[in-house]
Amino acid sequence: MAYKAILIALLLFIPPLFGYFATFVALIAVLFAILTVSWHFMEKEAGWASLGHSIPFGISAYIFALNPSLVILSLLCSLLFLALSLTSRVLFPFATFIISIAFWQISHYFVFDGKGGEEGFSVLVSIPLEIVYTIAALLFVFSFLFVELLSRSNLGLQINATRDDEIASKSIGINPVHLRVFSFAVSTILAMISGILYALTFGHVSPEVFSPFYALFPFIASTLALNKRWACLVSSYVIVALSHALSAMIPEVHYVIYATVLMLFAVVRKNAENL
Amino acid sequence: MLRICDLSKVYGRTIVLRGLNLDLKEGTYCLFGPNGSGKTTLLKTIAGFEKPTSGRIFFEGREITCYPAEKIAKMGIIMAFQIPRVFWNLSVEKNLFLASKNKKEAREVANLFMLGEEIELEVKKLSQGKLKLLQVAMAFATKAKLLLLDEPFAGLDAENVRAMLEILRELKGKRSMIITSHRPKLLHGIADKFFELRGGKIAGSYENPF
Repeated sequence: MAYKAILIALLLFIPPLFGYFATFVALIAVLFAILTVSWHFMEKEAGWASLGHSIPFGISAYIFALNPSLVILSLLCSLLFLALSLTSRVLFPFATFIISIAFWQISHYFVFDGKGGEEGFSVLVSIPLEIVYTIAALLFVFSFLFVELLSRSNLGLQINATRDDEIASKSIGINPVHLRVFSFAVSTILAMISGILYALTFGHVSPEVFSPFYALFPFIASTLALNKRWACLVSSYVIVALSHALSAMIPEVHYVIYATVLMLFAVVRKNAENL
Repeated sequence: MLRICDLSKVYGRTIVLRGLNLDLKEGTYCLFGPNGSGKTTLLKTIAGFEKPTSGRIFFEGREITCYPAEKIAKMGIIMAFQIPRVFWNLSVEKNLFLASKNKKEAREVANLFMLGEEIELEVKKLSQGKLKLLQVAMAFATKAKLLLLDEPFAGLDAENVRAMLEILRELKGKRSMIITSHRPKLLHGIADKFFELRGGKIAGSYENPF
């Protein structure tokens, strides 16, 4: 346990010591780590694997850019997840992915006050990068601890139970729909935090936030983390750092990284069972 | 305790329950009959897992027809399925804790149902016999007033049948039960009354012969 905490602390505290660029890359990794923790909670604890986490991520980033006071509206994404969950657990990943692609396409045509479209929107709020990084690091620790404590609570146990068998849950008086709504809301809030941090980091939001890169990121990062929550930060660092390091040589290198992780998935999963 | 009035259930063109009537006081009851006679459908309809096509169900004077299963469970009717429905990735203790909401009681129930040695074990590692016992244990742990046990002996070897019978004898008097079985003779020392279900109707009944 101690070495995990030390590793997380090092990953959060060391990058700012290496200047602006290192802080910038670390900030992207941390905000994606929050998105991955959000996805991981919904998949591992509640049993709903989303391939459309770019929806709450992107919508919150867009709303934050347009009007920060309305960002709470992105919570409505949990209702969208709830509607999509009616398809079944098996179809849910595909349904969320298709809808995220639809958002990606539609966002290219979204114009407000003469701005938007493919160019997107500039974020009205501007905060120095170091402060955004500090906020992101704190929010990551908060998100991680919150999900960790929740998953160990009685409520978390009930969420695990509905993941295993909804009929069995009903038969002992647990309402699986209430727990599903709660799980989606928690996951959406964390994805929302990640989206806002993204908007603050780049100062600009474009249709790219709904792209498959963002939709698939938490799934790939969680896979690379061997499905361990604490390792989500490490895997986010690996993907983000590799993407930045190699993007000059190979265009769209993140997709190569994704493909590599997926190909190694079987081996990764076997190793995870032994950890 | 439980009153069923003119209950019917139709799947497509198949009539499974035909205007079934039943009035049960507290006690232990056995429902028997051939395959397809409607035993499981009746239990599922009482427990809220199936909606009746027509008819009404009352529990302790309150109508529960068409209530969702989780609400009926909270009111005190718990169903244990023929094929165990449990939480596969959780331990025996956590399964029982979810039902009883009390750690100490979960352990007591585990011991009562001969699951004490397996308490830390993940449910997916249990044998079929232990799974059946666990499901009945979970139903018992909820402190429900009425347990609906669907074929508790199905798929059990002789040793586990004996264990299940011992448990049911232990539960008799503590909880009301409706037990479906292909082998009503097994319940001759336990059930107060036997109902034969045939073609979706009560075809006959008799009191405990012992």
